[in-house]
This record gives sequence, structure tokens and C-alpha cells, in this order.
Amino acid sequence: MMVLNQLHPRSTTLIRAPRGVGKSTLMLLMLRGVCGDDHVVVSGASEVKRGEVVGRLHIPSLEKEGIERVLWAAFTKSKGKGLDEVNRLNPYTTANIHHLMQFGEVWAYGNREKVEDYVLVANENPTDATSFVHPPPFYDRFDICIFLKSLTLSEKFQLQELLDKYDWNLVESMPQVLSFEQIEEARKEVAQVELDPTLIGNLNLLVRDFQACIREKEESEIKPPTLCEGCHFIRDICGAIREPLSERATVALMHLAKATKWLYGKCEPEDLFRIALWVLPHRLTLVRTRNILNDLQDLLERERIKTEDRNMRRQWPLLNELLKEFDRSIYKLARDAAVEDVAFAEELIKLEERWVREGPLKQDETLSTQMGWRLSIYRRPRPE
Amino acid sequence: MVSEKYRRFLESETHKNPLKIESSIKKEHLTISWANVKERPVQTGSSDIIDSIYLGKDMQETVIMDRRVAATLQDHLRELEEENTRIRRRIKIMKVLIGAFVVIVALMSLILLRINFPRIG
Repeated sequence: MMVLNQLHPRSTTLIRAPRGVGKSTLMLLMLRGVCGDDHVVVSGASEVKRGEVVGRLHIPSLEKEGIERVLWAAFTKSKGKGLDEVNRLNPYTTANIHHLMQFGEVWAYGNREKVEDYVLVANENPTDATSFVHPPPFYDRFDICIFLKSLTLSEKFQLQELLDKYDWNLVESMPQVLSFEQIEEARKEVAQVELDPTLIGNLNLLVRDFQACIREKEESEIKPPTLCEGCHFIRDICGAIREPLSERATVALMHLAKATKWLYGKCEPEDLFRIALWVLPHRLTLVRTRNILNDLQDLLERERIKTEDRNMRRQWPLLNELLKEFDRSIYKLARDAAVEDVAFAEELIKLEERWVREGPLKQDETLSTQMGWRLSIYRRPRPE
Repeated sequence: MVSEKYRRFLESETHKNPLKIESSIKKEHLTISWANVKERPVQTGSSDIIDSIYLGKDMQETVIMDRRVAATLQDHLRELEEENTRIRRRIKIMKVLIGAFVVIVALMSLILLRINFPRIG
């Protein structure tokens, strides 16, 4: 998964693990393998100054010529960027890195520097007592989140063999597997990959099911589970999610689906569920979390069943027919499906509004009126 | 406005899981089947008509019944015809009775009117 994630521009990977499990080693192995020696690691465990991450003022230029020249930090120029113990980075450094990840540029002393394509790998131990609590939008900018666990008995033997083989220095022995130019070439090819419409549909549906809420939790001051009291969809996936996904999840899934197709020749809907497990955990907050990966796996299993149910009900073919023209018999079947599916209900309600305007349906006959569901004003289709 | 990719997604889903719509009676009342005609294009087997009648199972394209089933159906039809004749006879009797009752009520009303208002006659 970590290798697949390197196949799109400005890739970012977060590794989460308890202490001593090898998150820093994995980060360094990836950086060396892809960027060789052209990598810089900023560590949250040490004192990080702004000049080390972004840039510092060139004092002689200021003194002699009165010009504010900035010496950009090696971190901004290097192809490989590592962030060790990211949860211990101070909020100012985090803000600068956040800006770099967001806009692909850095600012210092009124000067702007465009940052070239890069590979960014970060790691953290979220349970560390000396953590800063970084804002969720910062974590949302990481494409995937990899979780590491302590080694099983047989894996410990494997590691010891590897350490013996490489003279107890895995990182130093790691060769550069690809040049950065080769990576850039691969990234261009991956960007050209065309995905099957069904796969794109499944991908968008997966994200929408983890976002949708008939009571608009995104804008609501009250959040689940309180918001869900008495809701028709209380047992659905939406009822288990407190803070929904952002659209960046769709982008990350799309990049990884393309990379999978490029590398393995195909990407099936089943692959999407596998990929989603690494794209979603750092992006959403669940109502109850015991073990984020297990909880997420349960939700993805429910999503899988939901997809099957949708196929059995022929929901999308029904919607396809209704998009062409209104028909009461098809509409009746679509309504039956919509009372079991928020994402489908949203699309049907949009069509209902059009039919009410055009005449074939009366307002009091609509699902939205009868169930008391309304789309936000900005989601309503504009009159043509 | 609907995105082209969204349309393509819906079209591909329709292609994979087609709806069977009876076009001959379109506009009047559509008959929609959720049967996957692609996966099961030709129904070569036969349906048990008894299962479809009593258990509500879907019938396939061809319905074949054996002699015993036909005899059972014939028997049921005969019973229904007999029941029909019997009910029709009852209805006829009931009609006569209702007619007689209406005549009696009318006569009684006339008699009561004459008793209460002798001047009218």
C-alpha cells in the first residue's frame, strides 16, 4: 500500500505505531529507496526552528544591500521529506508543513518558494504523552495512514535474520531502488490511467455512504449519537460516524485505484474496500471507537452488504430510467429503495424537485414531503 | 445538469443488472421485472405451477404441468363452477325475497297511512 501511494504527485504517508515498532525505520527505508540521499528528516523529538523547515534570512544581504534574501531550508528543496514523531512537532512548524502540503509552496519573510514534486513520509505514536493535538485538517492531508504492530514470534526470527544479513543496519544498507525521474515518469503514466465507470461509481458511493446524513451532521451543532435519536437511518453506517469524510478521501482513493490498475493491470471493487482501510482511519471520527481498524473493517463489511443490496434492488438502473423520463411505476420502486438508502434518497429527492417543477408529480406526493427529508438549499438543483 | 461520468456509471449498472420492462403496455401500467436477464437469458426449465400458486414463487418463461396437476386444477375449476352456480341460485332467491319484502313494506306503509290519515284516501 505504501509503495502504491508513491505513484502520484506529492504523495504523503502517515505511519502510526507504538514506540519501538519500526515506524522511523520504515520511513527511512522508503525515503532512501525512492530518493536515495536526497532526503531530509525533521524530527519532532528535537528542537525544530523555522529556518530548518522553511527558510532563514540571509543576514549579509540584508546588512550590505538591504535586501531580504531567504535561504530556503534543505527540507523544502529535497525530494524526500521525512517527519519523525509528527505529533511532537510544535504547532508553528506543523502550520508551515500544512501550508506546504496544501499549496505546494512555502513562505518566509514575504518571499514565496514553489516546492517541486516530493515524497513525504511521517510517523507518530498518537498515545505518546508529550503529543500536541494537531488539527484534523492537517491529518486529512495525508493520503494514507499505515498502522504497525509489534512482531509475532516468527516475524521476530525473520527480523533477526534480516539484521544479521545487513550487519544490523537496515537503513544504511538500503539501496535507491528507483531514481526520482523514474518515479515521476510512473506518476505521469498513472495519472493517464482510465478507470471503469462502475469502479468510479463504487468509489464515490463508498465515500458518500461515510459522509451522508439526512439530518445534515456536517452543518449541525448537535452531532451523533444525539443527532440520530429517532432517525429512520439510525442502524445505517451514517449512525456510526461522528465526523464524516472530506472529499480528499475520494481523491486519495482515486489515486490508489489508478496506481493499482497501473501496477497489477486491474482494480476490482473488492480492491477498493482493501484500499479504503488505509485511506479512511485518520480522516473520520466514529461515535464509539474501540479499535479503529477493526471498527472500520466492520463498517466496510456493512458497506459491502449494502452494495450487494443495491444491486439486488436494481437501484441504479431504476434511477437511470427515471433520469430519462418520469414513470410512476418505476418511481414507486425507487421510493421503496430510497427509504433504505440515504445516498439513493438524496438523488431521488433531487429528481423529485425537478418533477414537481415540471408537473408530473405533486409536492405532497414526494418522498421528501412524506418522510420529512429535505436537501440543503445549496444541494438543490438549479432550475434550467 | 448531470455529469457524463455519472451517466456512464448508471448506464453500466443498467447493463450489468438490467430491468425488464414490458414495453407493449408502456405508459398504461409498466410491468417491471428485477430478474437478471443477462445472467439467466434463456429459461429452459419448467416451473411448478402449484408452487407459484400456493408458495408465491416466480414462474419461469415456460410453465409445464403434469397430468396430476392438471387434474387437480380441473377439479378446482369444477368446484369453483359448482360454487358459482350455487351462489348464483342463492342470489336469485335473495332477489325474489328482497322484492317481496319491498312490496310488503310498501303495502304496510299504505295501510298505516290510511289508518293514521283516513281523509287522504
